[in-house]
Formats: sequence, structure tokens, C-alpha cells
Amino acid sequence: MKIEDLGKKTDLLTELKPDDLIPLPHPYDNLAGEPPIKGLTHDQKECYEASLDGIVAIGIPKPKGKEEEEALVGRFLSGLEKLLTPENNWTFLMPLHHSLEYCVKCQICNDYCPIYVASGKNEIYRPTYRSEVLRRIVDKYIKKKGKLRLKISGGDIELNWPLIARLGELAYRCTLCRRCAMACPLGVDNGLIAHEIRKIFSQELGIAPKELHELGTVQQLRVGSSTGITPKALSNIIQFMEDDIEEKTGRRIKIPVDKEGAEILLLHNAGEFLSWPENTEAFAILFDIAGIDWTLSSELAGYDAVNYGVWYDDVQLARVATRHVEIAKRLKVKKINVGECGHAHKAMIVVADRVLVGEMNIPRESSIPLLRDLVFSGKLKLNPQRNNFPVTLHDPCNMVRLMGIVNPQREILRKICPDFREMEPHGVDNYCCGGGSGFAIMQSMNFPDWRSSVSGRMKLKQILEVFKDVISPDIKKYVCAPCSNCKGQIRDLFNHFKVNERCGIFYGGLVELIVNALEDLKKPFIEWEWH
Amino acid sequence: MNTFLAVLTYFAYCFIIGAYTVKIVKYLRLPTHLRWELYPVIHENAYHYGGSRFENREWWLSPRPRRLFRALKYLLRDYLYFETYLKKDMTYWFFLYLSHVGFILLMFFQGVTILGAILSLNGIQVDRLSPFLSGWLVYILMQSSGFVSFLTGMAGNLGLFILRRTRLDLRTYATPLMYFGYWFHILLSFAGFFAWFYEGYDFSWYRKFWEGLFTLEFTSLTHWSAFFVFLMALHLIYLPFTRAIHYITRLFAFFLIRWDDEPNIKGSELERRLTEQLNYRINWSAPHIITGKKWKDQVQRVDRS
Repeated sequence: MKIEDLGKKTDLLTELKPDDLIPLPHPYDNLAGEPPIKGLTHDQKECYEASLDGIVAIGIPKPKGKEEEEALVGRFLSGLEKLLTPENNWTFLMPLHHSLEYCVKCQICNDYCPIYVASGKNEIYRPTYRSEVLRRIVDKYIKKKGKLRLKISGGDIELNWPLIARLGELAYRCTLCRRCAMACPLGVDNGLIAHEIRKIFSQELGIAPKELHELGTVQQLRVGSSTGITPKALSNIIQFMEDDIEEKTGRRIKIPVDKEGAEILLLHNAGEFLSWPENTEAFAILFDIAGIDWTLSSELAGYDAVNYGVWYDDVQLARVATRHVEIAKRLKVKKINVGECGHAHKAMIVVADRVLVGEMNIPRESSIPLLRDLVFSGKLKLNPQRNNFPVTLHDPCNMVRLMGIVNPQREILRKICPDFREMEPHGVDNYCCGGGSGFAIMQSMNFPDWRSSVSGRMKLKQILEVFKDVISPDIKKYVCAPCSNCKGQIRDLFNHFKVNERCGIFYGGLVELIVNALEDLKKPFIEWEWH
Repeated sequence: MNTFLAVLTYFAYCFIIGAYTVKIVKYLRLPTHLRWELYPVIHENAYHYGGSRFENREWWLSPRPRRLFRALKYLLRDYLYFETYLKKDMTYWFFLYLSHVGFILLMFFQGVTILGAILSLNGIQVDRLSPFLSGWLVYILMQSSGFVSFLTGMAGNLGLFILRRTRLDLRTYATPLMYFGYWFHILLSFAGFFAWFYEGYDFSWYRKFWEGLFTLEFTSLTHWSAFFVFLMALHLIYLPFTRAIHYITRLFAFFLIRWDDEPNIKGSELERRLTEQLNYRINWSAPHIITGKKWKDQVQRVDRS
């Protein structure tokens, strides 16, 4: 496959064949038993752009005619031009300039990409492929290099709508885990280029996966949460949580909401309230025992830490971050503390740091060091034997490689889990769960199948390998994933491969393991119920 | 001919200095970007496992660590033996290493030759029998760096050319300019080698050429030595059109992007720059963006999707 083939007029550029995928360990060593990636229906193929690899992540509607195609090509170029100006893209211009200009095409980064490797090294998933396409478009259409210069620098490429539509889809075949960037001796970041392509589509063409934009940041700012939870619904959920805590622990806890002047505003990914309320309950239990002065917010967006803007749109990133801080300021809290959500960590504490100036710049920190300090404070009576089952830790990329929170979660697990075992590789060298950069919530057509079969494959392989000596379904095992999106991806991955049923592997957060280890709890907090 | 080579050499040095300066200034004038660091960040206390200050509560109370020496050591180590390639791709590493040794020594050879010319013009004998340590040392360095750079330059670039042509992953992304670069360096090294062989092992012809450039009394060069000087000048003119400046931009990428974890502190110079940038007007056209408004005014816009 050549670079210019991305614009080839064909119904399908590349097809993923099951035999090409890397093999999985026992009990998945027989590929024949693996669930296939569903094909698209005739109607889906007719309506949406799917000619890259037969997978649809964004769901770009097919243009109605040549004129519309040309208009879209023009708008893409206009967006690309803006992407290279300081006014429109001061946010990432320097890293983008570096990655476009200084890649020497040595291909050293390729094997660091879990998607490229898991796919059996399909050329289009190579981290350098989409970057090279963009680089050539820039050379020809923005820098307007002449024919000879293009020939010499290898930059010739014909721009057409199929190429642009495929490039848009291709930007969503990278989880932005930035493992490839870590490998580059020259500091080139192919993950960043995927991020910037997403921005052209969102910020100029108004095209983004609806789970990220329409149902994501827009809904969060308008309704209160990307999950659709309204302040009223939140109030009911909190009531439910208080009842559930009482039932599980025998203690009635009043979860503080909108408490002015509290020390901490705790921001949870609202997905926890819906899918894993035990996580938010566990925080409440621990904070109550430790006597921490904290509060939740019931303001629009104040109870949802997510900031999907960090994956596709700088303006939306700034809007959500600003909203979070405004709420914290109104509540007069001393600081914001982010719960178990990797991308919210990265967005709120790190990336948005440079859009929050003046009074907006209030202290923001992770909940993981707080949990570590609690575990070692002596305030909690912990019995590690309550967690006497094999436990492994998944490192969320946003929290670990992109933020450097590596050790506190390990200190906790070593103290409270007698059979804690590390995946290989781990820490900053970890593999993405396969659901990074929004993939975990994107449910478009056959994209979830691809996500489980390809982007999550490396993670599944790691998990099966770390538990290979206890792989029998009769032995309960736990994957600790201190991140909502990672949990969502692991849930779907396990469902796809029936991992819980066939191997007895369960997943959950970190804080649940801490509460499960509490000495005076009458019954185990972790219920091992698959949901 | 002598005047032509002299003028070409003057031009080549002026051109490369000018072109690189423009490139560097352009890079450094790019606006401050959002934080996008990647761990391990070299100056962090927990660098050995990739940890950061975020591992501590109230991390903002502790000062941002600074470890310039560790950073330079890290970069130098990679400059010296290309650790990443060594671990990952031994064959590629071998030829890449040879070609880089060839290039670095070629530049070093230029430097010591110029130094030799300066010493000689100041009455210091530059040869094997020089009573001055500096003269003797420069002579030895000139001889060894020149000779080794020609051999490694030829072998490394030939090896890289073969790899680029034979390995599909490298060939797909290779450009005619890359191939030209390999062959140009091979030819230059070849010319240097023959000049060394036919015109004098001690490179005194090249040192004298440089003395002439300083005194404006251009010396006569013949055959291989003239060809080498000609190619050397062309090579310097050619370099700004390649990615060879990555020797320098790599430093920027590490210090200004990958390890840039400078927090935005109230009243800081960083905050001043960011405030200025938040006043930039946005021209993006998607429906959810208010085209023409400033960044700082965009944050209130939530009513359209």
C-alpha cells in the first residue's frame, strides 16, 4: 500500500482478515472461536463513508454529489490552513510543526503501536501512515511546492473526497496513547497528528463522532453530563447510593452535595454513577471514615468530570474545563480532586492548565495520591486477606504515561492485595486498553467489534498472560482499572470474548479494593456480579 | 578556479548559518502551546520509573525540579550511540550510526581545520613535529577525523541506501531527496578520501586553503582536493533543505514539548503569554464555534451543537 493509495477510488481500501490478527493466549488460541467483526449492512454502506477498512467510527454521511464533495475538500483545506496558524492553533502549533517537519521516516515507532501490531501490521494502521498523508497534503496544498520539489521530496498526493473521508476515519484508528511518541528519538509525535486531524474535522467541518460531540461535550454543557444525567436525576442517584451504602455496610452516610467552602470538590466521571455506582460509593465510605471535608456538585457539568474536548476539539476542551472551574469557584472549595478517570485527570490538571489564567487557575489534583495517603494513614483498618485473590493493574495512559502518576496506585495494591501481579509491560510502557481517546464510548455501527478485536487485543493478551497460571473460571481474578473509560472498554472487551465466563476475570476500580479490605465490613464490598 | 572555490565556500557558510538561524528563530517564535508532556520527564525526582510531582498531594507546593545536567546527559547518550535504535533495530542502527559518525566527524574536521588555519596564521606550527601542543593536537585531530569521517560516511550511507531500497517499510516512505542525500554524502566522502590519498595525508592543503580564506590570498587546489572543497561547499548549501537540523530541533522537542511541564502560576511570565494568546481571534468555521471571536470569549458559547 502506497501513501497516495488513500485516495484510490475503490469501495474498500483494506480488509481486516481474522488470520492476520495476532494470536491470543489460551483459551483463545483457536481463532475459529473468536467473534467476527460484523460487516456493515447495505444501507450503512450506502449512507456512510466506510471505504477505509469497512469500519465506521465517525459515521460521515456520503456527500450527495460532486459539488458537495468539492466543497468538503475545500473546507478541509481551509481547516488545514487554519491549523497551521498561531491565532487558530496556538494550542498545539509547536508540537505539530515539529512532528510535520522533523520525522526522518525511520519507522522505529511502529512496533510500539498496539493497534498496528495487533492488526498483523496492516499498513494503514502504521503510526507514520496518516502522518505522511497529512505531511504530503501540507506540502502540496498549503506550502504549494512546485511539481519538481514535490517529486524530489516525495510529497505528491492527489486530494479528493475519498482520501479526506478516509483520513478522518483513520484519525479514529489511533487511541492517542502516544506510545509511539515515547519511542521516537527525535521527539516526533504521530499520536498528536491524529489529534490534529480530528480537530480539522471538528473545528472546521463540524464532523466528529456523535458520542464525543453532540452526545458528549455539547450535551454535557447543556444538560449536565455526557451520560444525559440531569441535576434532578443526580439527586435520585445520590439517594440510591446512600441507601446502597447503608445496605452494604450498615452505615448511613450523608453524601455532601454543593457544600460551600468544602476543602475538596470531588469530580467523578458521571459514567460511574450509572454503570459503577460502587466506585462513587467507595469514595464516600472512605472519605467519611477519614473525616475528609468534601463535596460533590449538582450544577450542570459539575458532576461529570469528563472532558471529551481533549480528544478532538480545543474549543470544547476549554469550555468544559472553564465550566468545571467556575463551579469550583462558586462553591468556594480549596481545590478540585479528580476521581478515577484518566482523561479527566489529564484534561483538568495538565492540558487545561494553560487555558485557565488569573483567578480561574485554582488548585487541581488527582485522587490517587489522596487514596494512597489514606491507606497509609492508619485511619482505615485494613485486612489484606479480604483481597486474597489474583489482582493485576491496568495503567490508564492518560494518568501514567501522560501524567506520571505511576507509583501511588501500586503502593496501595501492594499493601492490600497479597496476590498483586504486574502485567508486562506496565507503568509508562503500558499498552492502552484499546478504548482510549473516546473509543470506549463510541458505539457506531461495527466500531465496537473493531475496538474489541483490534485496538483492545493487546490489552486482552496482557491480561490473559498475567493470569495464565490461574486461568480457570473457578478462580476469581480482578483487573484493577482506575479509569472509567478503561473500565468501559474492558467491560466491552470481556463481553466480546466472554472473558468473565470463560476465565473468571472481573474488573473494577482501585477504591473498591480498598473498601473491600476494610476489616469491620460485614460482607465483601466487591460482589463479583457481572454487569 | 581558486577564487570561485573561495567565494563558493564563503557563500556556503553564510548560507547555512543564515538558513539555520531563520529555521531556529521560526521554531522558537512559535506560540506557547498547551501542556503535552510525556513521561518519564527527565527532571522529575521519580524519573527512573516515569513518576511525577502529581504523585503527591498538593503538588503545587513543591518547587518544579530542574536537572539540566541529567537532561543533557540523556540527550548526549542518545547522540553518542543512538540507544533507541540499538535496542530496536540493530541492522538499521549499525549503518545509521556509521553515517552519523561520518557526518559529525566531517563537521568536526571542518572545525579543527579552521582552527588549524587560525593557529598557523598566528605563528603556531601545525604538523606532526610541532613544538606546540596545540599545533600537534590539531594536526592529529584533523588527520584522524578527516580520514575516519570519509570511511564511515561512505559505508554508513551506502548501507542506509541499501536498507531503504530493500526494506518495504523504509522504501514506502523514502523520498528521492533521501536517496540523493545518501549518494551526495558517499560522493563527498569518496572525494575527500581520494584528496587525502593523492594530495597529502596531513590535509595541509585544506588548512592552507582556509588560511587563504582568512587572508584573501587564495591558494591553488587541484583535482581531488578542488573537487572535495567544491562538494563540501555544495553540501553545506544543501543541508538546510534536509532534516539534518534535527540535531538542534531535537533539543527543542525535548525541552519545549516532551519535558515541558512548567505549571501556569499566577503572575508568571507564562501566564502573561497565555493571556495574550487567549486574546487571539479564532476563524474556525464549525457551527459550534463563534468565528471571529477571541479564544477567551469562546468559552461561554454552549447553546449550539
